Order: sequence, then C-alpha cells, then structure tokens
Amino acid sequence: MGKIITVGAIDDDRMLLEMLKNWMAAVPDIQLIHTAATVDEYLQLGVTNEIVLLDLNLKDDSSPAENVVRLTRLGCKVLVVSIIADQKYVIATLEAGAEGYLTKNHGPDALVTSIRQIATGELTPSQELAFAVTRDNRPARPQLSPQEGRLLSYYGRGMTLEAAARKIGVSPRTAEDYLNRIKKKYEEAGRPARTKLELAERLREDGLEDEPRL
Amino acid sequence: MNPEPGAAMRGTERWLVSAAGLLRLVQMMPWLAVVATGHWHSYRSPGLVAVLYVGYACWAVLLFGTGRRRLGFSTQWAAADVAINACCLVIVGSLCAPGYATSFQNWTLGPAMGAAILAVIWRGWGAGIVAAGILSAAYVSGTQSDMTAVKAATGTVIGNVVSLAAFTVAAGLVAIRLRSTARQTDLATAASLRAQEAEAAAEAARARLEERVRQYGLLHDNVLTTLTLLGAGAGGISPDMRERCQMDTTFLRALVSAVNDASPDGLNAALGRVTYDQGLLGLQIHHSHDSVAQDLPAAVVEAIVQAVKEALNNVVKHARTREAWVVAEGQQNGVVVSVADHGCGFDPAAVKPGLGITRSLRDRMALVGGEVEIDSRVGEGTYVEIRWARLSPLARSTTTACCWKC
Repeated sequence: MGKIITVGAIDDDRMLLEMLKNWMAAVPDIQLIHTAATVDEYLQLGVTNEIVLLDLNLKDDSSPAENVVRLTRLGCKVLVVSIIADQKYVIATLEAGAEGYLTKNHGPDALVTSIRQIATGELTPSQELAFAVTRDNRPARPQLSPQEGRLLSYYGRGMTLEAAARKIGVSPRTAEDYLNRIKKKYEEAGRPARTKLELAERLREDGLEDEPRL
Repeated sequence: MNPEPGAAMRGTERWLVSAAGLLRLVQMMPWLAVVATGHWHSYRSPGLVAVLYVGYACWAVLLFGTGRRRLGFSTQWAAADVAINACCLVIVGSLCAPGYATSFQNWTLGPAMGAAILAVIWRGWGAGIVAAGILSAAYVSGTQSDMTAVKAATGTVIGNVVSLAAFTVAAGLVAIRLRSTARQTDLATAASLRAQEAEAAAEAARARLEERVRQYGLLHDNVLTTLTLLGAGAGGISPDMRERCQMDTTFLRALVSAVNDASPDGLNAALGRVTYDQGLLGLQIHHSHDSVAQDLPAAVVEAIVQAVKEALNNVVKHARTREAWVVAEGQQNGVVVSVADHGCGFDPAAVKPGLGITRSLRDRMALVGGEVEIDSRVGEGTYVEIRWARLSPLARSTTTACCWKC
C-alpha cells in the first residue's frame, strides 16, 4: 500500500469520535485528522477529497441525503454509519451518492476494511445496505434485473458473495459486477434529486440561500 | 339466532300493542250511539246485549293490560280473543231484531276485525288466516236470519267478510314493515356502537405504540448509544465487559428497531431474545428485519425461533466463526427467516441424508407447515433459509388439522 489514507469523521457523539481516533491511531495507513459534530462545522475546516465517516442522523436534524451531497460536492467519499439501519434514510444516502453504509456495532476491523476498499474504489456493499435495497418497495425505485434481485436478496441475508454467486449460477467476479451495477442504478436514480440539492447548495454558498428558485 | 331485541324493537312492540288497543276501543265506540239514541228496539233482548257489551269491554281491558305488560300476545291470549269474539258474533247477531244484524247496531263486527288483526300481528300469517276464517264464519252464522229475511243483507255480509280479510292482510303487512325497520335501526345502532368501541380500542393501541416509540427513542438516544460505544471499545473497559456490552447492544437494537413493526411481542422481539442468548455464547449476531407480520400464529413463531436457535448453535459448534446474520423478511403471505455465517462451511454430500441437524430443523418446521433449505460449501459459509406461508384459502379448506390461529 504505502499511501496514507486521510479520513474525516462527522458525528455528534464526542465519545465516538475519540474512540475512532484511538482505533485509527493503531492503523498505520489510515490517518483520522478532521472531526466535527455537524456537516457545517466540517465544511468550515476547508477539507476536500477525503473519505468521510458520516453519522446517518445528526443531532442538528439535517437531512442525511443533503449531508451526503454537500460532502461529495467537495470530492469527499462518504461512508455512512449509524446505530440502527433506518432503511428509508440508508437508501436516501445511497441515492445521494454515498459509497456505502455500516452499522456502528461492527468493530474496527470492518471499518478499516471498508475505508481501504473505498480508497481503492472497490467497496463491497455491507449486508445491511444490501438488505435495505432488497426491501426497497417505493414505486419509483430503480428496476433491478431478476438475476440482480436474486443475488442481492441472498447477499442481503448474510450469505457470502461466493455462495450467493453460486446460488444464481454466476462467477464471484460477475456477482461483484452485479453489485456495482445495482449501486450505479441507485446513483442514477438519485441524480435529479442530487442536482437539485447541489444547486441549492451552490446558491447557499453564494449567499442566496434564502429562496432557492428551482 | 334471535338477538336480544334492541331499543327500537321494544319501542315498536309497545307502540303496536297501544295501537291495537286504541283500534279496539274505537271499534267498540259506535254502539254507544245506540245507548245515546235509545235504539233498543233493534234487539230482541236489549238487556243481554248490554251485559255482553260490558263483559266484552272488561275482556278488552284485561287483554290489552296484559299485552302492554308483556309487550305482545301469546297464542293462548290471541286464541281466547278470537273465541270470545266469535261467540259474541254468533250470540249478538242472533239477538238482533230482523234486519239489524248487518247494521251498526250489531257491535261485534268491528272488535272481531280487531281480533283478527291481533292474531296476524302477534301470531303470524297462519294464525291470522285461521282467525279471519273463524270470525267470518261466526259473522255469517250470526247474520243468517238477516240474510234470509232481507235481500240486501247478503251483499253487506259479503262486503264485511272481504273487509275483515283485507284489514287482516293490511295489518300483517304493516307489522312486518314496522318490525323490519325497527330491526334495521337496532342493527345500525349496534354496529355503530361496535365501531365506536373498535375505534376506542384502536386509539388506545395507537397511544400505547406512541408511548413505546417515545420510550424507545430515549433508549436509542442514550442507553443504546453508550452501550454501542462501550461494546466497540470505548472507555478502556475489560474485554469481558466489552463483550457483555456488545451483546446487550444487539439485544437492545433488536428491540428498539422492532418498535417500527408495531409490536414487542412478535417474531422480531423473539428473535431479538434469541440473538441475545446466543450472544452470551460468544457469537456476534447481525439482526435485520423488515415488514414481518405481527399476527403470525404463536406455534409458528415458536417453531421459527427454535429453528433459528438450532441453526445458531450449529454456527457456534461447527462454523469456526464468531459472527452470524439473522434476517427476517415479511413476505406477501408469510415470512422468510435466514441464518447465515461466513464460516468454514461443509460439504453437503458428506452429510448422510436424514441425520442430525438438518433432519430436526426440517421436522420442526414441517410440523407447522414450514420449510427449511440449507446451503453450504466448504469455505463459503453456511446459509439456512426458513420459510413459512399461510395456506391459501383453497388449501386451507381441504386441510383438516392445522395450527392455524390456534
């Protein structure tokens, strides 16, 4: 590896931020420098192009999807974390362009693995995220092919990707492609809403945030 | 089959008795004109006619007094009424002077119609027809002498007999209509009462749920958050304590998120307890669920819970991993619960069929009409899928023994 991955964390829980710092201090290739309680606070630090661990529901009642959009605009890659996988919000962050989702009960190993995967651009979705997507029953949800649906369903139930791939009769490599395709479909589906949020964000930056006319 | 009569029905019955009583009174009035005008020459025996009239009036008072108390008339009372009226028709008719039996001086015709009406209203169509027949015969018999003496009398008698029949039928129809309206009113009242009660119960359930959501919200915000942190290694507590916190976190998370599915008593909460117990054995369990029905039969919940326990025990014993996933998904007509691990897996071909774990898992679910599928390969973890669906209405009707809603 060799390259140092710089990471930021946004969470209203100070204790969690401290703990993350302790964990990452023990990992040579990851550096957690910037921490903040809200996205506003984080943006004031002037950081760009970082991997950001973002708490799903922040105490300032900001919208999870909007938070993701504001961070990705700056080139950040966002990994959403929360205690409970509130499916509606998890899906919303995925459509807003988040890289992935993890529940907080995973230990440091899972977190470190996810961060490294994001850095190399090959993050496998977590079981929680896959499960949330399989249970997405909104009328306007992205359409998955039958094969994609079956793969996601097995994977979302905790099967290993190898086993899930075998179940639907494809190679693990193809299964990975399916997962990436599904993620793309959600990013695509979220594009119109994301564009709107980005526009609102630009207006806010320009000091015209009072009444964004869209 | 007959429900307790409602307020509207009781009111209608009371009204019918009063109306019949009033009718009988009105039907007896015209004779008072004879008294007022002194037409005593109409009778061969005026004293006996007057005594009969007074006696009849006493009977009428007794009859309707009882009817009002009992809100109706028994067959005995109706039969006695018909018999007394028939006797009066025969006797008073024959006591009239020639030519007067078919005139208003014969006071018995009007009350006799009342007797036929009473029979049809309270004892039904059969009784009404019999009463009308008997009374017509008695009327014809009482007016026999008139019809032989006066030519026009026969026409009058026929007309009166037809009227008696017509009034009886009309009264029967009116009574049916009034009672059916009353019944409908009572049914509507009862239905709206039930609806109110159901609404109140639903309101109470909503209030309970809201309270639970509020309490669980508090749990989530502080207790669960703290436990999660401690379990993840914050605060520098001992490894034992950390593990304990992790388990409590899993349990609490299952509970708190189960509230969204509206019940702490259903399959989700039961699975939450299982994951907790397994946590005590050192297994970290990721428990997810969505849209699981709350009205699964208790036997099905129990069977699924036992099957999940067994599957998790197998993970602990054989999978060489300390992590497992329990996922419960509501389906259109049932539920799918899966237990998965990323452990060493096994070669299904090497396990003799009908032996050990798979056998008891399958048998357990088969008892409640469920299925189990197990998938594993060496190095690919193990996946156990437990499925249960309600029988379709068609299948249910042909199945005799089943634990459905027991």
